[in-house]
Amino acid sequence: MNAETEPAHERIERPSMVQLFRFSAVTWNAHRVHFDRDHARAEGYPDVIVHSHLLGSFMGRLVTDWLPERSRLRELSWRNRRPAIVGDEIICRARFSDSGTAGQSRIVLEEVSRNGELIAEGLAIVDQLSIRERNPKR
Amino acid sequence: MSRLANPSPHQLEELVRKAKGASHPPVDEVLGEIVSTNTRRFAVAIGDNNPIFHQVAVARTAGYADLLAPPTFVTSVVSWQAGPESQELRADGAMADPFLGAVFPGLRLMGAGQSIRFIESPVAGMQLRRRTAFLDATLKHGRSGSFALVAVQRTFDDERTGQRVIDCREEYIVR
Repeated sequence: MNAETEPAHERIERPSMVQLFRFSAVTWNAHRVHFDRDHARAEGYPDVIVHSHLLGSFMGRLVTDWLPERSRLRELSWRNRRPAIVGDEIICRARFSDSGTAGQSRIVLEEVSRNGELIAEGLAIVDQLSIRERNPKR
Repeated sequence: MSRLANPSPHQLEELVRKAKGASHPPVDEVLGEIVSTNTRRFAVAIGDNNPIFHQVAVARTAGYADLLAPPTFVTSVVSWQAGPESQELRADGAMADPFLGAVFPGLRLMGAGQSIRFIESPVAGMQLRRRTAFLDATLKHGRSGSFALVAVQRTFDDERTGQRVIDCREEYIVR
């Protein structure tokens, strides 16, 4: 596979206070930095911060949205590089990289701010796909 | 509310040294069933309307035994059961994790990322068991000062078959 000739996929996320609340609720996570503005400021953030797991979920969505239904996600990893704040525009990007191990493909992931600052970077490993299969479903 | 004080680099170094030297027996928990209402809610919360996470028929056509959980569902849920009483949470609302709470009491926590390996696809109806083990703590120096990077391993097994479903290395920033 040639990463330079492969299609890339991009989505823009803008997590709202309601989205952070619902993510806290569904994961039963009461950490106040995600919903209590005063507390977040006391910890030194400008506002409530986006969950690390939600940033990872945006990456997971990017991959599963992109792949055909019969493909399988084998690995997903990400590392947070700087906090994302509620309301921030987060540009999520995926691109196919060189071949992984036999029968698998690698997808390089990143999330950047409007200013180009790296928020998180990641990697997904999926069952290897033919070029014809690598089209966004939606 | 006043701004929380940062521990000094020396205090952090001492905590990291203690964490590395201490014995941390792994923690085993029965998580219970992956409930489709919860996985669907999770998909809604992350804004994912992919039908494979919402319609059993679509998931089955794609080869899954039941409704597929979004990939980060299993490793994002903090507490699978009712969870502790509110007064048993840390002052910042976080769970008093056996490693992070006992070893780094009162310090600020932030998720730093995960590495998830899927051996089986997590689907509704699966009964899970989780083991959490301390891996490492490392002192780091970043743009905004010193912090500890703490790594734990979480493994998720299918209660019925005994098969491994997910391996996850999770890292936290503690400062």
